[in-house]
Amino acid sequence: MSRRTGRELFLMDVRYSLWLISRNKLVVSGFVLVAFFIFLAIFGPLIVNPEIAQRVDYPNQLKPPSWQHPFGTDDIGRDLLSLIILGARYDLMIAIVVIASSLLIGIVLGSISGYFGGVIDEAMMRITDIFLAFPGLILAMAIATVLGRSFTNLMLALIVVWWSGYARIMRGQVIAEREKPYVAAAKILSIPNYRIIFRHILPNAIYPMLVVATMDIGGAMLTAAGLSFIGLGPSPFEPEWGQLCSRGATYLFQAPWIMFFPGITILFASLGFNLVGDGLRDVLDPRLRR
Amino acid sequence: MKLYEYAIRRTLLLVPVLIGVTILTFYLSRIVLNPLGAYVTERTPPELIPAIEKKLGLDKPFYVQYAYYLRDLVTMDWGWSKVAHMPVLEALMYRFPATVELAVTAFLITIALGIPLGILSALKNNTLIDHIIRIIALTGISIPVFWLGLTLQYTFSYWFKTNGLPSLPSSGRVDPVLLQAHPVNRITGLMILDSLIQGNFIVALDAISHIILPSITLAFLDIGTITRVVRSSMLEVLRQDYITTARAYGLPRRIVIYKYALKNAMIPVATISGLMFGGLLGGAVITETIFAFPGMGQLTVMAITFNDSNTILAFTVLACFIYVFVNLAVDIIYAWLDPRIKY
Amino acid sequence: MLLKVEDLRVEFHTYRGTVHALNGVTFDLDKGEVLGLAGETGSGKSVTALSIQRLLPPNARIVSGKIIFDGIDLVKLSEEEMEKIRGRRMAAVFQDPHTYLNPVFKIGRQFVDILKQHDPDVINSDKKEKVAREKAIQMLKEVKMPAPERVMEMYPHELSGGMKQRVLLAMAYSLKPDLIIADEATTALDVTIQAQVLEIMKELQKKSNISIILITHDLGIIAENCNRVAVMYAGRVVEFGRVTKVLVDPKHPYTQGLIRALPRTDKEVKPISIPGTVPDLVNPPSGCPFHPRCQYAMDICKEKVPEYREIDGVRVACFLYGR
Repeated sequence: MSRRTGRELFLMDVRYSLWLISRNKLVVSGFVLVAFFIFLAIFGPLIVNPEIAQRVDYPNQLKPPSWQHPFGTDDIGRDLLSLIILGARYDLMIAIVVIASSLLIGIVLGSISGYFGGVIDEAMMRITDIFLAFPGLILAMAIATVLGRSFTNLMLALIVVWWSGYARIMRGQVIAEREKPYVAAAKILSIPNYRIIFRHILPNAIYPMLVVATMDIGGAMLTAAGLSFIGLGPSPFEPEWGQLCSRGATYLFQAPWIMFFPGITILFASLGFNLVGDGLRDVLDPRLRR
Repeated sequence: MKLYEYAIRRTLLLVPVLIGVTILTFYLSRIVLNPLGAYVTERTPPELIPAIEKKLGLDKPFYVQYAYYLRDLVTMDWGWSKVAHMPVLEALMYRFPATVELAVTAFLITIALGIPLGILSALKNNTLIDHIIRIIALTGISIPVFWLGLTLQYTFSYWFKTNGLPSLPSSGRVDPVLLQAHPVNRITGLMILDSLIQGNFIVALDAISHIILPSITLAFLDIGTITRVVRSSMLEVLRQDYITTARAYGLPRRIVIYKYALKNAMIPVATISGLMFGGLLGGAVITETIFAFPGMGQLTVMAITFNDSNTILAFTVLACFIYVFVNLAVDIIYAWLDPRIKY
Repeated sequence: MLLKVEDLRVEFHTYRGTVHALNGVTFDLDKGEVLGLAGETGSGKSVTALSIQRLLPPNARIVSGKIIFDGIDLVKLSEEEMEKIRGRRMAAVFQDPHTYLNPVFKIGRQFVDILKQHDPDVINSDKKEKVAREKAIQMLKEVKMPAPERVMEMYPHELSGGMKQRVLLAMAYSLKPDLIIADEATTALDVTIQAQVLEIMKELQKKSNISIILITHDLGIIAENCNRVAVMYAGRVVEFGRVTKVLVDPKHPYTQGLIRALPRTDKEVKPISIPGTVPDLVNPPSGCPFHPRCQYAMDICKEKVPEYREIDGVRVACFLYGR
């Protein structure tokens, strides 16, 4: 902190304000990305006719990016851009469904465990310990393998992997909240336990989880795509992004675009969610709200 | 209690968890899955099936089967690997050093780059450098491992080569021709280490050139994570009162930051490094496949393609055990680092 | 004259706007003197202390004014130059001992590092570590710390609040600085511990003739320990003079209000609190900052900021004593 001239201080002032705005700009772009991909996921099949896009078209195979095919074509002649647009629903759906479901399961089980304590809590701790002892991707891989290769099985496998983390966090939050006076007040008023948990404690405990969950959507998308890449996702014909990259890997040196564009789409989708999560965290950070 | 007593206590506490892990894998491999899968193909005559079932103990109740399962695990009889054409354990053990080499290299890269970047980002808070580093870190945690690996592979192996630039090899661990000309004895199984010990610099260099791309691919995600953690931890610590005290007593900036602040800031890093290692194990599966790196991950993916559940589940158990013990080691180191932890 | 603060003005940039924390602080301090800096929370006492040490956070800046320490204007010094002064010539003891010691280092380590940095005996010797350790133990004895050798090997969380504060005191005195700033050094402690710590401070001060700035809201402590007192309100010094004069015969309405608000054991009088609240320093009131709460407020008080006037050896900033 050396002596600053008036001019330097003024510039510092300006940069400070600009930074505040730019910070928000990043978050705004995150929202834009997320909204864009959700739009694609919902309206994909309306924008691009799936029948036409998925048609095998050998003469057109392995064409590099051009005006007719901005992202090139794959090994059976399908237009990559259309495939990517159609594929949005797979990747987004799996990520959102997985996180939402595990969040739900985790919140319920974690609250019960944290609120009632005792044997229930101990048992829950041991169980989550076991699930958390597995590296995430590897457990999902094992489960998806034994269940058989399919889109739903992949979702199931990821939910099994993800719920215990949320259960733990929720449990911690509930334990912190249950000592607080408003809980004791509610008990004295003979409010039934389940209401205390879900209508009183939950709203207070949930904020940190929202930030984690948002960023986890990006993570779930990456994990799902990765598992799909090694062969555990939907069938090879589906336009799911990980699948497309897997096809692309085979033709990497001849037709790198097949792998490149779906992959970079995954990057942007998960980046969007991560930006939003980051922004949420800054917004909810008590220190910055003065 | 002393540190080693704490270590022993924590290890013992792990036993129920490990047992739980085996129960889960048992459930997956015997109950969810048809255990005959690895041993029976379409060409097996149907009359033989009951005999096979009896041999595998499938006619016994579940808890007995589990006992057998546990016994097999402990006695190192992990079944036969369809894809490797050898006992599963042998196959995994042979490839184990390769994965370790890859994971350790990636981990070292992560620490060597991630921590300084995080510190720099924190010290130059709100400047252009900070923003750049934050964006890089954010990209790191958003990037699909396979895409990064493939892109690096394409760029540095193929594109560089075809454009006359010096390039890196695209696959494998070492050039087999080179290895034949300059053989290396397998001491630790870690190619780089072994060749260096034996003074075989040609192979060592070659091995290093092979491991660069895969380890960078693996490390990138973790660099993103660790940079963010170090940055926020450092910022938090620098605002603490005890840093004000250090400055009030005229301790020079360098000592205040790198001695007084850093030690506190590294504590959360120690905590997440265990988790990061789990990520490395998982990521290795994909990375090894892309770069045809002969580790356990590559084997497992082949097993997925050929439905070899023995291999897959054995790898799962092994990876899990490794992960658990690494986390234990991290916990002990953490207890040792932070004097406030009572043990 | 050891320290002379002239018309110091400091601003903070926050999300809510610019906080005008100090609006013209003026006082001085002689060698060997104990000066009390009194005022409510938000009056700017701590900011003054931090400004003197140039330890303000990054979003603060010294707008104007002088801090002349032994002939040098501290405002104009670079960070490297300040590092030479801090510790060696000017030390500080802060309010909450729990947060002001680094939790991952032993007491001995923190103490020795300071001595190795500044103490000439240590710097010039061959066995720096050994000499520093011995000095540290010696200082701990001076602050009446039981078992000083053991304390050196302990971590902060293993000590009580009072013991931690003594460690901080020992560190402050060990370098024999010219000035020690004690910012609410006893507020976080029990009353009995408080008394002990003040005792020790008094003894050490008499022995070594160090100047002290004692920052506190407790007028009782000021009455017992200080030579002169500066009463602060809303970032200004409103009254400044010898304790015997200011506390016995307060001139500024704010000082009068503070004294009236104290519970008394010698008279049958109820304490009367000052009506109103401390002003918002983002939008301070016009003219004299105290006028909204002052019973003697005149029209001019709303318009102009009063200058300092000398009355009876005491400096007051109030229009009651002339325009």
